Amino acid sequence: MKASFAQVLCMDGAFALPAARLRYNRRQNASVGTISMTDPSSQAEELEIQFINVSKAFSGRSVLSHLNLAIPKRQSIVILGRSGSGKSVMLKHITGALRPDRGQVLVKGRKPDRALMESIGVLFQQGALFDSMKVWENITFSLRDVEGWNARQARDFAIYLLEQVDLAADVADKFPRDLSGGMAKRVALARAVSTRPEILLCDEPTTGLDPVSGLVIDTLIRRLVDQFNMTCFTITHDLASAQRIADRLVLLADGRIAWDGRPSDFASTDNPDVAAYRQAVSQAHV
Amino acid sequence: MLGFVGWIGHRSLGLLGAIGHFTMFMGMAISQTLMPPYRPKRIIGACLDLALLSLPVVGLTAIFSGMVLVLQSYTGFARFSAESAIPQVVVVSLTRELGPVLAGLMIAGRVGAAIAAELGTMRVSDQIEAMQAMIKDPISYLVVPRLIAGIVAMPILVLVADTIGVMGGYMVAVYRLGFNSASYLAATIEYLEFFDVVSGLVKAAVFGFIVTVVGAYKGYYASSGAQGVGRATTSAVVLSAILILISNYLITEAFFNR
Ligand SMILES: Nc1ncnc2c1ncn2[C@@H]1O[C@H](COP(=O)(O)OP(=O)(O)OP(=O)(O)O)[C@@H](O)[C@H]1O
Ligand SMILES: [Mg+2]
Repeated sequence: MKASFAQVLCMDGAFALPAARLRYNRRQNASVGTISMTDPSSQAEELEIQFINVSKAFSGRSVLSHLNLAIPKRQSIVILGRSGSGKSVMLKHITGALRPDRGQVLVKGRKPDRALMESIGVLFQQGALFDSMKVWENITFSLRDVEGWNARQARDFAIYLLEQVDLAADVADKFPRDLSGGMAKRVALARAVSTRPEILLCDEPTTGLDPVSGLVIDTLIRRLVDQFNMTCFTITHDLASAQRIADRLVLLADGRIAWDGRPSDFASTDNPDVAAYRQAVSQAHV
Repeated sequence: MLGFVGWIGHRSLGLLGAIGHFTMFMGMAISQTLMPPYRPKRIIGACLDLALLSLPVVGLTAIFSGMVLVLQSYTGFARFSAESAIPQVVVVSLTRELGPVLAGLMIAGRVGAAIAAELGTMRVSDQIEAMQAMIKDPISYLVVPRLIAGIVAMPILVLVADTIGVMGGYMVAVYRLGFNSASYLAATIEYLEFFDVVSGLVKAAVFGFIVTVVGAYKGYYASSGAQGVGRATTSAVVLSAILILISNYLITEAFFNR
């Protein structure tokens, strides 16, 4: 899995930057072709992530209660919710870092384990870049052993991915401590997608970014879903960004799914939780 | 009364649980050490950090300990005209006891604390979780190289420290107390047995293991927040110091009379 993505994006051995881009573009066209040939109705049946009656409490304080959510393959789902509503907790159940007190979380029909993690890419809310490594080492951390790359090859690949998240090549040789919050976020996203995961989990990918970079990230996530068939689980506070990324919007409130629907319906629904959320957001913006 | 018994029971269970948890972590670390991938670069880096960068502070500890040892044993031995035993006493207590223990304690403060702080910071900022999501086992990357460094580099460090300590003692004996230089050195070497050195180095390796594994354990499972990292660091130093002193007795007992 990992090997194939790198080979797709890059050259088979030594590669240079323009060559990597060329190969990447070619692959895009090919994938678009495959998508149109597959039958959409059969795709809808495959569930990638399932929350089945999940409850989770921390020292007696309930965070998730009897939460149910099924996410089909190749869907881009966006989770909205007030701060502290348990969005990140949901994400950590998918990676297996947290286990439900009751109920089940299934990824590809299985409980999350080490082997499954190979097909999951995660962008953590705080970025979680490795302090002791340069940016390019961060990005290629899970690839170097697998690909057998030397440092130059790995660095080239990292620069290519940096370009995808709207960062300049000179960022590659910086350490995370020398990056701004928004830059770190984008580096973390580049790292999350470096293996071409089947499932991409993003915890607030555009928080702290300027509008232009935010748009670039949204476009990238959308492209990963459309052209690389990723299943994407995104947490955000940014409604505009949610509209751009999402196939499906979900509002988390009081530990359960309060609203679940198409992004276009979010603004017009009379669901009381959505109304309360919309009002809270609009007040915050005043 | 019942509450007190219950409290004791609760604490004992908690302690047993903690010991079990720690043992499991140790087991994971050891099994990862024996399995590939081996990371020579990280191992060498960890060795240099442990041995080379700690040499000044450990050397300083050793030299002054050697100097004090000579002065104190002179005070005692002069009372029954046994000054000639001083070189022997100094070299034996340094190699068998003071060298490894003092170095172990200094390393606990310098290296153990640093490991706990680094891994603790990684834990609270989700870096360990991120690493878990990216490679099979963060322990093989984060802990194993340091563990190997502890076992391999610590004896080397202690050997150097022993030598420095003996030289410190020699200087005080010769320049302060007027011992004959050649006969002091001759006595030092003559009475030093191979086994003294070996038992000291075994201790060093064990202490190196203790310091690195305890530091890693405390950092790896640090609770969230800057406070959690602080607590992990402090308790790593305290726990390794205690374990060093206990295991020092046990090893000495095992080598007793040899
Ligand atoms: N490991 C943990 N231990 C204890 N409590 C936790 C833990 N993780 C999360 N919580 C608690 O669970 C609740 C939900 O946290 P979570 O991080 O999921 O919020 P969130 O929806 O992501 O908020 P934000 O938008 O601010 O990131 C919070 O009250 C938090 O304190
Ligand atoms: Mg969060």
